[in-house]
Amino acid sequence: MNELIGILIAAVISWLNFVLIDTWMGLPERPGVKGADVIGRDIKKRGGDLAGGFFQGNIVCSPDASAGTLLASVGCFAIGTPEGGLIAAVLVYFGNRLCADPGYAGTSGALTITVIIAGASFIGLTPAMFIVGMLIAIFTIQGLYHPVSSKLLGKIAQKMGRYTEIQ
Amino acid sequence: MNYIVYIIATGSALILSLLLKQPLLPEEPKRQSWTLSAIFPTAVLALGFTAMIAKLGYLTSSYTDYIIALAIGVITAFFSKFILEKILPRPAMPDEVSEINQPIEKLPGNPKPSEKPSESDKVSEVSKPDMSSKSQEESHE
Repeated sequence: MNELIGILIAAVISWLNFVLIDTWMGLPERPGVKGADVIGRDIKKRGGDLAGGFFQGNIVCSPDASAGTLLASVGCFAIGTPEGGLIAAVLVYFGNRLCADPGYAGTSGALTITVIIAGASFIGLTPAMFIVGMLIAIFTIQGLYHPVSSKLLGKIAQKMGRYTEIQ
Repeated sequence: MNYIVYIIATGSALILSLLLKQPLLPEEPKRQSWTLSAIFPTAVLALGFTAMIAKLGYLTSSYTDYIIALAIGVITAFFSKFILEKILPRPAMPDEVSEINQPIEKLPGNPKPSEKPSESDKVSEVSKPDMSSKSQEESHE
């Protein structure tokens, strides 16, 4: 497969993987730690959405599905599929515990992307494409413009019934 | 990749953790639960540890692999039940959202910055050096 097309497909898959898992796991519902609360309220002050802000704050403060997706991709690239992804899942779990997070989102994200990478290898997508794709995916959420990305995350949270009740 | 090794490791870890009276799944809502259960994290840890052992080259595609897989499952179950909480304990943090959202100065133990020190505080501050001087005198005597 053409490398650029592969990266584009991998970016879309990675974006859906981590956003859907994180939203389902309730990252927009509440800030897990004080830092996530501060980030969420700061994004809201700048015209963003509070639930989306909590989502972004939680991503920054502990390993969630985005970290799991990236680390599992790196693991599969460096060690092999699926061993690298399984090892990454364990390491993400320990990281979650260290960051005072129960740990479902990161570990689940690592395991799902490992299955996806193993499946996508049959159509020519490599773990390296998923590494670049995940970097692009997280850049669209955290790197471009927080107010817009937080509103999008807030709408997804509303549709999945995970919107925050905090004012 | 030998799938049977992974199945044996995960299965033995699951069965033994259930025998050790760990719940199959944490209580609801699962995503906010700190309870260690048979499926999460014991089975996930068993998968990861098996992958580590496989990549370190200890699995040699013979019947001994199954014994190694069984040992990984048993060790993981005991690790999850007895050791994990000691190495990585639950954090002592507030569970309530209202407590998280309190301003820092309202949290227990942090006085409000606008508050002036009360009379009793002043007295105690003044009396502290006296006490220490008294105790010093006593120690000299």
